[in-house]
Amino acid sequence: MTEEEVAVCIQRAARGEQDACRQLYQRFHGSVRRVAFGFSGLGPAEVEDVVQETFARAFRELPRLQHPRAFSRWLVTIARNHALALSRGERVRALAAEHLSREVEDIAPAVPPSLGVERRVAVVRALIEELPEGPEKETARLFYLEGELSAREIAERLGLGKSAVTMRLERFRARVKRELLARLLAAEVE
Amino acid sequence: MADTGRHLDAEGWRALQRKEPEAVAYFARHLAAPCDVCEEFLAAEQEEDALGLEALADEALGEAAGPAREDAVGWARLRRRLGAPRRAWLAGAVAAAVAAGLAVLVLPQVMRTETTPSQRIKGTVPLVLELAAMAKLPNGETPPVRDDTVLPPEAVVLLHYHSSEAADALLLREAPGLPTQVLGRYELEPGTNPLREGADLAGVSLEGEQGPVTLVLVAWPKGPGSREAVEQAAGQGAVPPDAVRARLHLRVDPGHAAP
Repeated sequence: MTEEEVAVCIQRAARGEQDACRQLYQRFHGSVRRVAFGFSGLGPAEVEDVVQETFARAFRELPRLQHPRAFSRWLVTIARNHALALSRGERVRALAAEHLSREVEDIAPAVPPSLGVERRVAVVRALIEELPEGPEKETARLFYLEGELSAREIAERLGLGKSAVTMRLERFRARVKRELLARLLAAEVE
Repeated sequence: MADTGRHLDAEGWRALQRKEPEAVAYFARHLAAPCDVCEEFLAAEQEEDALGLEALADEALGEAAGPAREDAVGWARLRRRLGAPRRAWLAGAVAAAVAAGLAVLVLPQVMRTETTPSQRIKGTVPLVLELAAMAKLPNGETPPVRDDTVLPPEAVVLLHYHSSEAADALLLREAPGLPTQVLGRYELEPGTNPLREGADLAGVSLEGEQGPVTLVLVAWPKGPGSREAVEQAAGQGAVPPDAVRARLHLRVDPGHAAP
């Protein structure tokens, strides 16, 4: 689906057209599931709950979304907050609930051209490529490039504890965040 | 922000959220190279994220693997949570069996068409559109559906069309006292075919319905303006009076077991 097709789908889905909702679900369920899969404390049923809750909420509140380009970022934000609420303690659950209540307004629609989604995906792939050969690279490759296994399943495959895999994934995600933040700030400076 | 050895911490993060020029300039340079200390800070969830960094990262990480496989089960589960009327899609062996059943269902008495003069361009043959259907019942039976057939709400109506030429079409649902609802857009091929969405057989679930329900297939011969006509009709949520259409009138009765 092109960006334009996604935008049209979002407009139709906001009017309650279910074939549009179906197309959006099929286009984005992988990204939403990947967010939930990163939480090794969540079992398969809970991951599915995150996916379901995320899309149910998104479709319900779609008419409030003012910028179709922010749709995907909005979805993963909802997913992360749901996953956090399911997997963490009371304080984080309260924080996630607070985020859930205001996430529609909070997603900034404007992203500089240097941070378009294709450019960011290229950054992710390059960062994986740059990792030295070893378990760290293998974990990131299995989770983010093959995109089929959960953190739990990767732990089983590599014969590691769940926390070890989660730690590697969090470390890699932080590296991605650092690289993206640097580019975001550089765009501000320019 | 003169301290060139400074790393990200709560204070620096807040300065970035406020887009303080000095902090932005400093960390734009500092974070351009790997920094274990700053990455450790970024690994933790931050309460404030006005820059939308978490979402930027998650979106990119989620897209890195490319398109995900179709998730028919997840969608079916989600669809049940969304409002009626509900659509249904059959795939695989069930779809093949039902499609085979539909193929022998092309009977004049179950085909309905309404053509209107405005679709007929002088000197050309008008678009002929016909609609047939069968119902997939909970017991696995797939009886043909004729006009005014009474069906249980557990039934899924599977549609079959005959079009004299390629057309862009819209499927709508009408029910007394309710706004007309767009169920889907389709590209019709010439001939007699099941209504499909990709590899799946498209149908209409009657779950949540009660009383009279009319399914309307509205079509425009493929050509300049046909897609625009579909979008215009979809936007208005109405059956245009000048379009070629085929209707199927049904009645949904919760106490009814089978036609």
